[in-house]
Amino acid sequence: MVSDDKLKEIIAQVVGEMMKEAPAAKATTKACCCENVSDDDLEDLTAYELNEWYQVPNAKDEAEYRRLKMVTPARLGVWHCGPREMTNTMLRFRADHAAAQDAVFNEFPKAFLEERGILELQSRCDSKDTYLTRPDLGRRLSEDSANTLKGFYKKAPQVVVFATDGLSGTAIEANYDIVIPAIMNGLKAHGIEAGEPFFVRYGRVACQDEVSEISGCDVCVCLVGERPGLATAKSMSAYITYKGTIGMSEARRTVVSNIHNAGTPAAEAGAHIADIVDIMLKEKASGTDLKL
Amino acid sequence: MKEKILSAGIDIGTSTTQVIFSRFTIENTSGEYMVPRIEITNKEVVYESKIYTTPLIDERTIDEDAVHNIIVGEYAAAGLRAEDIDTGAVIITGETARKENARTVLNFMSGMAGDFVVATAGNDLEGVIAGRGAGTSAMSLKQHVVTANCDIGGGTSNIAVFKENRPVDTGCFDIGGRLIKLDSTGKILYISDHLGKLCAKHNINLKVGNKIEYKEIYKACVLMAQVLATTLGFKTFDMDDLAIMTTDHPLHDLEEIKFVTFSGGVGNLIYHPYEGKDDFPYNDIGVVLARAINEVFAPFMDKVVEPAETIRATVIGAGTQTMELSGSTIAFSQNTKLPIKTIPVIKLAEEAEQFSPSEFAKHLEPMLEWYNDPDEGQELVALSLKGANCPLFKEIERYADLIIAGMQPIIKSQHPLIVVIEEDMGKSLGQNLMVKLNRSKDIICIDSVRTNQGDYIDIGEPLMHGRILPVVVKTLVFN
Repeated sequence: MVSDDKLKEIIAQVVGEMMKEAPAAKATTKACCCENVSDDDLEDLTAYELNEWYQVPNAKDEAEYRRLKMVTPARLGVWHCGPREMTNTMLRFRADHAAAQDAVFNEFPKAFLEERGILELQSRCDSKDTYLTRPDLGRRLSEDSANTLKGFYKKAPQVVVFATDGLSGTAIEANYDIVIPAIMNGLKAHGIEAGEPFFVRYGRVACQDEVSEISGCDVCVCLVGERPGLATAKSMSAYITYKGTIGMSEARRTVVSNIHNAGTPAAEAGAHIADIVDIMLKEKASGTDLKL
Repeated sequence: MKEKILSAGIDIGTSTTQVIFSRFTIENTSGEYMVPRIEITNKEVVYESKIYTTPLIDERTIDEDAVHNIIVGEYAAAGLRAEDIDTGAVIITGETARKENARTVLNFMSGMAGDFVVATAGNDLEGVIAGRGAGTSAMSLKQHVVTANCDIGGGTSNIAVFKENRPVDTGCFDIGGRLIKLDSTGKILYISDHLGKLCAKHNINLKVGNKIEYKEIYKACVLMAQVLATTLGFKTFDMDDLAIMTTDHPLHDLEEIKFVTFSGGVGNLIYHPYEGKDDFPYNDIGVVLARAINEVFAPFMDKVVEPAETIRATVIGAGTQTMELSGSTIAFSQNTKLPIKTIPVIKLAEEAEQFSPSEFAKHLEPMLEWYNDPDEGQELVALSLKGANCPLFKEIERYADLIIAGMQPIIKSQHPLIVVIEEDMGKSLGQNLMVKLNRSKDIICIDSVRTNQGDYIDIGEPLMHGRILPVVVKTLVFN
């Protein structure tokens, strides 16, 4: 066994020799280093849609390649430098990854709720960290929030619609203003009464069951930010239940997922959710019990 | 969840009559947990009739009873009843369509081919249907090139040009295999007017009552083949000849055509020349015309491609290519009576969709007025719109306001308010219209269907548990 110290010594030695052997490379690196570059002078690598991110030189049929790219957000045709991706591809990848991280870790902005006068409730989690490490606490409302909700509706509404940040507050920010009015409008078109929407911080899907119990609603729609990927951080799902109860089977949830601009447009998704609510009220069932 | 529907295609041409039945499979191809995406996943021709000679009483009249017997016989042979058929099309093509009893024939056909059938709709649409049935339209999408199909039947040649699976141009000529008819001894019984004029101009000696001379008729056929080569843009021969043989209009020379396919009875003979010794085996000039086309098109052979279907192109097109599905998220009032057939479509230029509601209404008014009969009142029309991609809800409401302002004459009438929008926003827009009109007006709001000013649209009964509506867009004018 080589000890850690010995290993470090070997690495230092090897690296030292490599540096000696490649003075030219070092010089080049230094030559293209610029200091004091303002952000305005740098290309914004996240400004491109992945569908348009194409850098194959002299392709035999560029038009066909671009058509292929239009049907997938996969990073095709980004070219390479030797066996590696290009620097801009690597940076874009990291930028997208950072957006995904931000969506998970950033606090949902209070200002968003205040500007719209949306009631804010909270799960039993006291921070993002607790939210991420204690799913069980994210499924229940804090005592204060439970009490607030008890007095929120004068009488039990037929339908409750609310949003929770889940794993992507970004998704709620991106879709809320479209999907909520689309759902409310759709319910109105069906002649269905819905209660005023609200927001739950650090919530997981199943917190809708406590919401159902407290509010006494028949159907509960929980809009939740989906775990972001590298293609989008703005994808949202709606989980819909008929007479949900705490601890009920997950099979009783009906879900509409992939609500984002490259998936289902938020307005159409909202209208579709309203139709599902209408069917649920008629069939008195949700999840696998409900044939859509 | 799968649904299967049966479609009938019936083609009553100048020279032949054919029937096919096909079965469409409709499925939701999106996951259970997503907004549905309903598509036709399979089309299968389940029955093909033999190719009949179209029964005529005389030059101008289809033998209604004989045609009726053919169709009834084919239904029986296929083991189907009229009420089994969900969709389809009856096409009376070529010269026959202008014949006196075409309408009577169509009327009893509609009863025969289910509740939701399109009838004949003029040469332009027939050319498109043949091009779709031949597979030429699909070729334009697969290879990303501009293709044209030339459907040469007995009386006419209908040309349709396709780009990315969409028709972009059409033209029609009085060129076909039955422009001259012979008796069994080779004596000329009939010459079409257009061909008569062409022959007169070029001093070609062909007269009714005379015996046909091969050399003379071959000359005339070469001239007709040159007209086709001219309109396709391959080589310009004689523009006067082109004018003489034009039915309504030639191609508009909009796109450079990469490949041309030929369909129809004569089209088939181009790829598979008649092998017998006789020059007039069908007592007409079809075989000679095909030979002349092969000679004239010899320098352009790299552009001539054989399509998937030739002689059956029109009937296959009628049976499998006329119906499309609306988008999967649409809205319509449950008590609207369907199907509704032949609804005229009105559409303003796309810029008008950015106008204020009153400005939009002002521009729409003369179009609605066109369909306002002093005695009958406002007729039913459908409003076509482009719409917005991934719209904000404010945008949905703005569109609803435009529609309500513009379509007042329809809203006040007993007709349903029909909106056909291209972008995926039909359900939210439809629901918004229902709310804004206090849920007191019947509404049909479908999306993902492209229509233009001057089109007609048929809307069928809902499919897939009422999620979608089948539609047939009948485009009569291409510019």
